[in-house]
Amino acid sequence: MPNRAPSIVPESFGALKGVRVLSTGTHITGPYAAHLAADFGAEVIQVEPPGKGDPWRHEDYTWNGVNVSWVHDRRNAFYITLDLRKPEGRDVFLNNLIPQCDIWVENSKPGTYPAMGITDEAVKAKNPKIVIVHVSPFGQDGDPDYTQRSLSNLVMQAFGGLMYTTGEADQTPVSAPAHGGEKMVALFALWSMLAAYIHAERTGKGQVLDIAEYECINKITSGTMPMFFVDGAVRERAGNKAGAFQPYDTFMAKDGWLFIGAISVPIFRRSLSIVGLDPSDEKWSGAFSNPNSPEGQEFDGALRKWVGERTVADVVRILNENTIPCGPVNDPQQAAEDPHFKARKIHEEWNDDLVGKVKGVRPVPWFSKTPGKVWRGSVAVGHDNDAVLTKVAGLDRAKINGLKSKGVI
Amino acid sequence: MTQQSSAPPPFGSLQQLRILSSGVYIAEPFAPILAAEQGAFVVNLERPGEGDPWRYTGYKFQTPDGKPVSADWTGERHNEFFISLDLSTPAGRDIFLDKLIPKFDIWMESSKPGTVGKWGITDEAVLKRNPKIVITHVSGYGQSGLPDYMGRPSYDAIAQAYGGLMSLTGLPEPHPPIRTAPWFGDFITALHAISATLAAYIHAQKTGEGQVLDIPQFEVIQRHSGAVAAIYHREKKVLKRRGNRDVTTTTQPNDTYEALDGWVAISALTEPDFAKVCEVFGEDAKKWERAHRDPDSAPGREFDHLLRTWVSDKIALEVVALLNAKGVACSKVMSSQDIAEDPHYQARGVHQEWYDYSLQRTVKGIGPVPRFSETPGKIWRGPGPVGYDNDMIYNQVAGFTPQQIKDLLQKKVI
Repeated sequence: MPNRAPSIVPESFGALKGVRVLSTGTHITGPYAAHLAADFGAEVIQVEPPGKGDPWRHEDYTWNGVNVSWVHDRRNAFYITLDLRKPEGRDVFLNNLIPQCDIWVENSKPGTYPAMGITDEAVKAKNPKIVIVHVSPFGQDGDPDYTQRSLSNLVMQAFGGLMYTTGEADQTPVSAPAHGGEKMVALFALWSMLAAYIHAERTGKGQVLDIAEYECINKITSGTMPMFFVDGAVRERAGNKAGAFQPYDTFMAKDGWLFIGAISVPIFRRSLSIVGLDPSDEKWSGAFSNPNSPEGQEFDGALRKWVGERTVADVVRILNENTIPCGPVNDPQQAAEDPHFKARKIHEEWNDDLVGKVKGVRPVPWFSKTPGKVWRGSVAVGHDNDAVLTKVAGLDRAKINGLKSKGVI
Repeated sequence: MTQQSSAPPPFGSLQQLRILSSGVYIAEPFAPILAAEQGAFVVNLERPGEGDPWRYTGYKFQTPDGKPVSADWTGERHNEFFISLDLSTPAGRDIFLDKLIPKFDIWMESSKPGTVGKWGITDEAVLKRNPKIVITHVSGYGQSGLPDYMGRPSYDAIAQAYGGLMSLTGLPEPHPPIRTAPWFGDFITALHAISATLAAYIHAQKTGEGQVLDIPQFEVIQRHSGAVAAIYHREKKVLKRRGNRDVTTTTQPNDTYEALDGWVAISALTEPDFAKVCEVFGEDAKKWERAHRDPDSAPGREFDHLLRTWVSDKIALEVVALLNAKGVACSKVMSSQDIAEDPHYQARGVHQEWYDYSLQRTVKGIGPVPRFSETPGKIWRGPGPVGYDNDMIYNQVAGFTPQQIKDLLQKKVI
């Protein structure tokens, strides 16, 4: 293998300083994982097809034709173009990029890369220590009728079992917004690539991760599957109610929605006192764990009335003073104006090459010794071709010009 | 099956990693479970007696002697050792700081800020015993900020509400905002927590420097919907929930449609995919171009109605088969029963059995995700009762004699 090129991240920072990630996927499930690592200081090289680049750049909600999710989440990375379908592109990928990287993450249907001559074996031959992360809708194998199917954010939540339990009982099931399914998959890709990297650093051995999008969704359904396998019980959707305890629901105050969540008997008893009911009255003994009993419903009605007569701010203050978990249902404006959001400086401004000043969410979480940062916003297609291809891939000027003229980059 | 108190032969990419976890519910404890599926040695510390309230919350199974155990707990808590310790006593504090902390790479917890510090367990005290340790604090509102907020209790739904996700979830007003069930706000926090903790561990391995991570649930949720925040800051535009049309999605179809026997989800967000949908039900895609790009226009609503009508007289799996044959993303909204019976879930072996030491029976749930080619994950034991592994861990890890352990038990320190 060629010598390792030094990192090109300016003012290197973060817990993942020195970790180099090659990301060749599109949309969210692969790239979001890599870009979260970039918030922690990893050097991320994102590859796009030459020309228009990733179609995700221009889809969804846009500013001047640029997707705002792209603007917000595609920060802190180097952007190059490479046509992997062309033999010269494949060769640069295998011979010049793969040997320089610790992790390669992609998301596509199984067989896509092998069809271009990029098999796991070919990649491992160039870099035995690399962690290869394949994210795909239904996994690399399984029922052949499924593995070539597509999934979207919505459909993966439906197939993975998250959606069936979400929503009001007598209405359509609903999904987690803001690409909730796709980003959850990306988080699975992130933790597992770091685990495999730890193993590779310790043993010198790389490996291949098979991340099926629907399985990541099914993995976060808690006891839903054991309930069925053990008792034959199907967990149904019930709005916000938890079913087995209360109060656990949204409530309408004078000026908006808030959520009250009592998950234990002592909290329930405190909430009885708040609305003027007697916690020592035997009548209420079953109301906590039987929200649908007459007493359970009577309590729910009393609490709704009490909340309805007050403002969100008053209810949140009074309940929290009594250690009853309660929070406003913050919309984007309320979140931006919330004093604790401001005190934590969760929103910060950075400059974006494509759309100018952006104010968004800083790296989360907070590291005491290796704080993350946003050091650049999103950039144009091929913005870093010269820097990456010379300094990391080790190509000379003539070679780069040749690739350009052939449309490989 | 007999009691299994020792770990299986080393397996997994994280077999060298040792995590001490003292949090409750899901947001923190599920993070080390993922590591444990990759072979990490995870010790779960609970207060003596009742232990983690999550054991008794929600839908319940029964032990042979009639005690309730939460199905969610049963589904999540595998591959870890269970010890009890009363951190609020001086003896408990000293055992924690002097006997346990030096033996671990990572300590994760989720108490309200200040709680354990009050008992003498400060970050400084921990780092003094083990300068290389990663300390991960998971909380509702963070370790700093407005004091009035920091002490507030927070659960999954509170974090979804306060963090800004819930206002975007559910059908439009006057329908209520909806929490993504069962516990999305907790799981997303756990996933961020394990990722960040492993990153900090990597740093500690390379440099010898430990550190402290501050992971508030509401910030994780807010990071998730960052684009929505950016849109508000630039345009002062407040995006609102609209069912399954995601808040930033501009094209259709991307919704649930009611079939004869359940709901199906269909997404065709791009023009080529839209053309495939049109082909399936015999419409000319060119004619409906505007409907695709502008779901709220008159043709947009007309197309939505056409598609709903087309789906409504079919069974869900027929719609799924027709659209998947053309490469359109489509699925029945699957219940746990649909999932258990699905051939692909079965072919991939997604669901596995393990032995649960509280229920004293084999249960079946979700196996390790994702798949590692060289270091496959496994589930080698289910959860046990509070303090189930006290004898083994206090002897082999903390170095106490059996007699000393008996004394600690008698004094209710463990």
